Amino acid sequence: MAAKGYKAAARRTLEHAPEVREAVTRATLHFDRNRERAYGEVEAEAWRDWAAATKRHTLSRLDRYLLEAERNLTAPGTEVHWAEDAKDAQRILQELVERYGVRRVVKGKSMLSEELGVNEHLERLGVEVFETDLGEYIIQLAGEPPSHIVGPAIHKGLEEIRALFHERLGTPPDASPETLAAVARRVLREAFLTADMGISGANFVVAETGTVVLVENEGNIRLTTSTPRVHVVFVGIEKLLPRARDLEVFLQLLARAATGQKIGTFVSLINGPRREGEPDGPEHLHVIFVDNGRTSVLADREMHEALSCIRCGACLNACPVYRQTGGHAYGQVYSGPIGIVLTPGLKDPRLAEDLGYACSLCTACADVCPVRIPLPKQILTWRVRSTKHAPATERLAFEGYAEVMTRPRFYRLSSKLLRLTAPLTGAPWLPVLGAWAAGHGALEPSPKSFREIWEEELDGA
Amino acid sequence: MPDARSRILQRVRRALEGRWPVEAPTRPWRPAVEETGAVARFLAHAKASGVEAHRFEGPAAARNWLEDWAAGFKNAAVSPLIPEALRPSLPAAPPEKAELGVSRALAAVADTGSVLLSSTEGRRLQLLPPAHLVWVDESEVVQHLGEVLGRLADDPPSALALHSGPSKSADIGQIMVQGVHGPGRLVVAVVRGLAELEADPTEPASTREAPSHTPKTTPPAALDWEAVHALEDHRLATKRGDAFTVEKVTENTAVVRVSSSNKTYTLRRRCLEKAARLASAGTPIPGPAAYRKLACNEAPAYAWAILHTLDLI
Ligand code: SF4
Repeated sequence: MAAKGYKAAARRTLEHAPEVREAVTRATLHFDRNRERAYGEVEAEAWRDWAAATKRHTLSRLDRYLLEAERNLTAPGTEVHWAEDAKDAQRILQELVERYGVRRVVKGKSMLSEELGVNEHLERLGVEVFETDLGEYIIQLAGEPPSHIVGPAIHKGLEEIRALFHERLGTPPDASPETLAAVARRVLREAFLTADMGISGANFVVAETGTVVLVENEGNIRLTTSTPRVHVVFVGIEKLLPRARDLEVFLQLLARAATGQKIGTFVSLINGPRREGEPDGPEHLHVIFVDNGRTSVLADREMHEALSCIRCGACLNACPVYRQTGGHAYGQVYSGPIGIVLTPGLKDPRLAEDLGYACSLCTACADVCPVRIPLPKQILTWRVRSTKHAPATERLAFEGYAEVMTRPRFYRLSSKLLRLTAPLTGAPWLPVLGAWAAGHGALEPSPKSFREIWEEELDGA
Repeated sequence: MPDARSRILQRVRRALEGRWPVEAPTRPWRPAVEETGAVARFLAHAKASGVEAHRFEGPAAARNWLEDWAAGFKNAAVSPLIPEALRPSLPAAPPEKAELGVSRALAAVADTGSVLLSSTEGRRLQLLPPAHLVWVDESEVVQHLGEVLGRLADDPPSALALHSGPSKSADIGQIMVQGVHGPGRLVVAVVRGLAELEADPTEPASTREAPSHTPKTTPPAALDWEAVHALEDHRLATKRGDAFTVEKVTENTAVVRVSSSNKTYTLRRRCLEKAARLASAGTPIPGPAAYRKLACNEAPAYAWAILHTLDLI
């Protein structure tokens, strides 16, 4: 990863694709307003407290809940697998593809499968892959990764999608959104009915009952998990909930935080493979529990709360930095505040040197997160940790600053010095601070310090 | 060499080592008590999310509406769970060809305006046709989502699903489009007396009228709730001989604890009453399967055993 990855990519986007900023800002503001209204309709604060506590509890007992979930998943005939990393996951998938002679796969949106490179691996195996979420389908056609965890194609405006469909699917250049959706529906309907395997993620897995829970608005995930004869679920080990009853709050909170709905339009509660006497449904169900860095995050005492994330996207929508560029500038699977916090933990702490600065520390994300992840504090922590690798001048400057600020006499002396020299030099040493000073105007010291004014005019008055 | 499973579990344990376990929030979430009735709230919320929601006073009224309404379709894929009287008179078609899918919901939830569907009737007919009609009995409309989630613990079908509106997407330039993959129309019809109709499929729908002139002489609730209260702390056994205890009886529920697994199940008063009513009207309820079919599908073995102990079925 280049040291200037995020900044360079953000600049490129803003200069060469200004329409992205417009599309992303519009979409995120829309999501954010809906979330705000939806929080206001219920006792959102109490729900968030409860949800945060439930997630923290689950994580603090994760080994136990994983075993309970495994037991209850296996009972009705689901096969459970464990993958330590992307390679492991790909190997398991390959075995299943070979076991069932799979030629065609339909996929429901899953960020984890992006992490694991599932599509690329399937294509290497000669398997045809169809992303079936409309947004995912659009970016699959465009050959791009998703830019938002809930709306993967929000960076694309109608015009761009029209042009893309025109080129790839031969629709009229001025087709209406309805026409475009209908064409995608036709292509994907055919795929649903002919695919041998459906691949999905999971929003939650209930340990008590061994239920895989999936939330969506289009119905493509229900189809993915219902029509092919094999269903494979990739699920991060952090997605567990203890009891079925816990879903009552989580399903409603997730929908309200993500899009402002009362509940996702379609919620699948999958308990096992097709049972005897049922007319349809997959004959084989496989659940793959994936670590891929999650245990390192769990072991990190300052970051482990980030595993509570339910991928609602609210922090992205609230983030003024994300809004400028969308997710691609981050160069990672997860973008926005949660991406900044999770990515270095999941992949490589050094990524924080770059990503940690895609943030203005405005703390808007903390105000909206349904599971109260302390995102700003964690971003700051990553910054502190990454100072070890900061340029020497910047480090020195800040160390000096700290020295000065914590010693009153020193402070008085240096502020006098600054005031005396400023007229001559224009605060000459500020450029030492590099990037930090770049966005700030030059400081103009006042002729007298507050302290002097206090002593001369107000004290004793 | 340890496998991936044990390595992952070991890493989890090591990560949690020495960490104070966080207690689960002390009691499960309890939603507010609602003033509006469940059916009215359900209809309002469903309509707000784009559901075409209807309410009928009895199967006859529903049948009348169905005849007109279904005339707009060429064919239908119909759930086997639907009684004859409420099946549209349309040629049958497989779900991938049908213009209309017709389902029987297990329940409806007022909080979210959702219907709860089961894979027992087939999943394709709930998803593939462009329009989806869902029948639900008035007594099966509950206020809160939590009231139906208990079913996950009670021998559920391979898949349950909550549908809360037509399929939709705003992925194309933030413009809302309906019917992207699933049905673009969701029509929910809440019918009073639907379950009773199923209980006695030989009786034609037309003889079932509004409840105002119920010809039966049986009292409205054949179940004396006090008698259920009296069973508190008693040990009973199911038809198969599994022992359980009636742990707690509240105003609207009875909680039982199964001796072998130590799991608890909550039985709803409404379901027990319905079964008792049906039984006193002469409908045979020979065992848990029949109880499930007729009255409620929550923990039927224990519910049946309670009613049997009270000599009601
Ligand atoms: S960190 Fe919080 S707000 Fe952001 S996606 Fe996760 S749950 Fe949603």
